[in-house]
Amino acid sequence: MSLLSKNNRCVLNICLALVAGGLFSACLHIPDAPSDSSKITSVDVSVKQFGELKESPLKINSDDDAELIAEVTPSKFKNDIKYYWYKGDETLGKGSVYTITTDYMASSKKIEKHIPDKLVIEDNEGNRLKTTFQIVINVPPKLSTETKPEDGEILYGDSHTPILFSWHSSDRDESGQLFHTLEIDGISYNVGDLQQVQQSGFTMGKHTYRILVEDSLGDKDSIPEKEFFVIDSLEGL
Amino acid sequence: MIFRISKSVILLGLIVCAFLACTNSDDYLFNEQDLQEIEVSAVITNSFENDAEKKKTDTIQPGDSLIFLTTVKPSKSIRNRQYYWTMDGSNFASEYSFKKNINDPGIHKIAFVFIDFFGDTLSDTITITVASSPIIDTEKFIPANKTQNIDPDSTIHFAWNSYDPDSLWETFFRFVLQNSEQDTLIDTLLHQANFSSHKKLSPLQKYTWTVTAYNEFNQESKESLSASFFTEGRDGENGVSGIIGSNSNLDKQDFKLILLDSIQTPLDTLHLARNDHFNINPLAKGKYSLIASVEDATDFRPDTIQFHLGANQILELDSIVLRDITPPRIQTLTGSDTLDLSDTLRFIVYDLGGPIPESKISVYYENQYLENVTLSKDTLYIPFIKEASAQNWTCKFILINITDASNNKLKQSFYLRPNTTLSEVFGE
Repeated sequence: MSLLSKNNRCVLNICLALVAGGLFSACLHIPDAPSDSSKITSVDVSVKQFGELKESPLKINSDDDAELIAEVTPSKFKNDIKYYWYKGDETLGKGSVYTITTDYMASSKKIEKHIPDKLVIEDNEGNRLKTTFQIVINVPPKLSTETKPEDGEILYGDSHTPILFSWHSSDRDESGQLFHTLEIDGISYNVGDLQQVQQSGFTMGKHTYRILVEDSLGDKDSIPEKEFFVIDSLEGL
Repeated sequence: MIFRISKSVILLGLIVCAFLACTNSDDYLFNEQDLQEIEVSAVITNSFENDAEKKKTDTIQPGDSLIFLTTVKPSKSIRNRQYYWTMDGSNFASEYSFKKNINDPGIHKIAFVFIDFFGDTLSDTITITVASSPIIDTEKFIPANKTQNIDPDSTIHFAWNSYDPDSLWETFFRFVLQNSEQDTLIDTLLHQANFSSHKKLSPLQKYTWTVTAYNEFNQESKESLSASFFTEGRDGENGVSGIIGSNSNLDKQDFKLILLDSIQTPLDTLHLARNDHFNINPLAKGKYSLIASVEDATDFRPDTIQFHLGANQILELDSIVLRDITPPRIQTLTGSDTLDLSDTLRFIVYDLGGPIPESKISVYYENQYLENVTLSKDTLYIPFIKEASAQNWTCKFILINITDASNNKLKQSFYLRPNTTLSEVFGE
């Protein structure tokens, strides 16, 4: 009886020890710190081109490479998450930066294929956040280098003689107007969509001019400064 | 004991009766008819005059002053907690009425807020648009002023620079093209600062174009662009144009222009009125001279202008202004500067630069202004009845001032002979 009692006491002690050990080990298990990557509140896409970062409008000049840059808020988690760039359901790339080369913008088919419209970010716990966007690929306006007066041209007349300034500009994807600025001897004239004007008031001697064109999305083209010479009409004749 | 209790009850009853008598509970019941409604209103005006127009909205230039007025009904003297003005939510003023200017461009909401004694807030709002007039560059534009050789059959492109100082408002333009007779050929409104005219024009003519800028509140630019151009002549044709006038104040003058070729052969003669434009074309390439004169007014010296034509152009001469620098002339009938006293003195007055207005003649007798002086044709009549009847034994002095229509002045003195002697007046 006493032996049984002794055994029972022993079993009881063991059980108590196990319970105590279990409780102790339970107390020793420190849970992992909860992931706070799901605290990312937003993700935005910006375009970086010509050294400038623009959030709106998401417009890319097709003449140069550009980068789509994903920016998360708060930014401290930017390195702890994965980035997936999509076109529809097709994954185009990974990483916080997606590079768009000029080749991607060479044709509408390539644009359709290579320009993403959705960004998904995912943290280590599988939390996902997505944003959709639309990238405008803008073909900048082009100015023909053939203008009047030709570079170095000699023109005869007096201060009242009109001199024809003409140029040609085009824009593959611009259905609206192009805005031109004619600079003559450093004086700017906003000539709107005109592609030729006649101006007078030139003294005898050397004069310079240049033309700039801008489309409705702000992309520009210009020609280098050209010079022409005005000589008195009577002397010229 | 009973008496004492009943006494206390009676006393208590009296106190209750007195209390009830002093307290008319009906007075403390809410009566809708006793409600005093408060109304506030705010207006703006430009003058403290009673009949000045009062408005709830207005458009002004930055810096313009406005008078802000309030009305509180039943009276501004009712008890209140606070009243103040806000502009776009910020504190603006704390008076009932005041004068203030607003400089910030934009559309502003200005509210008068009145908090009454019970804490109820009443307010009224005024809308003020502060906008600057658009600015148009009147110096630099295309084509430059007095451009020649514009092809009359081709499209003419006009361009100018304009901007809105506030960078807030849309700008539009009124473009007008007129010929030299000031007939309007084009009058249109534009939303862009350029215009292409496809209108066929006449060769060797002067055209004037003007542009005025407006913002969306119809505020006009302080300056308008105004310039002219000349259309090209065909096949070596040239022209000469200009304006003729004189330094005379006369409303009507007849001018004559004679165009001579290089060997002084008259080619054309024009008869013009003051400030008439002339345009002589077509003329072949070569040397010419133009003699301008005022008909029947030889005090105006004829002017001869020589010029050369040779590039299918219209030569625009500067305004030809003929000048009369000769003052009017005056003399007595005898030609002497001394004349006998009579009831009417007569002088011959003439000016070869045009008629002399009577108002430009003043006569002084011994420094005394004489009235009723008349000028008929070239004779000046000076009535002298009173003085003529008096006996004068000394020479009297008469001064005549005349100014002709070209502001040439004549100031001449004459002397009146004595009509008696000292001994005749005073005896031996």
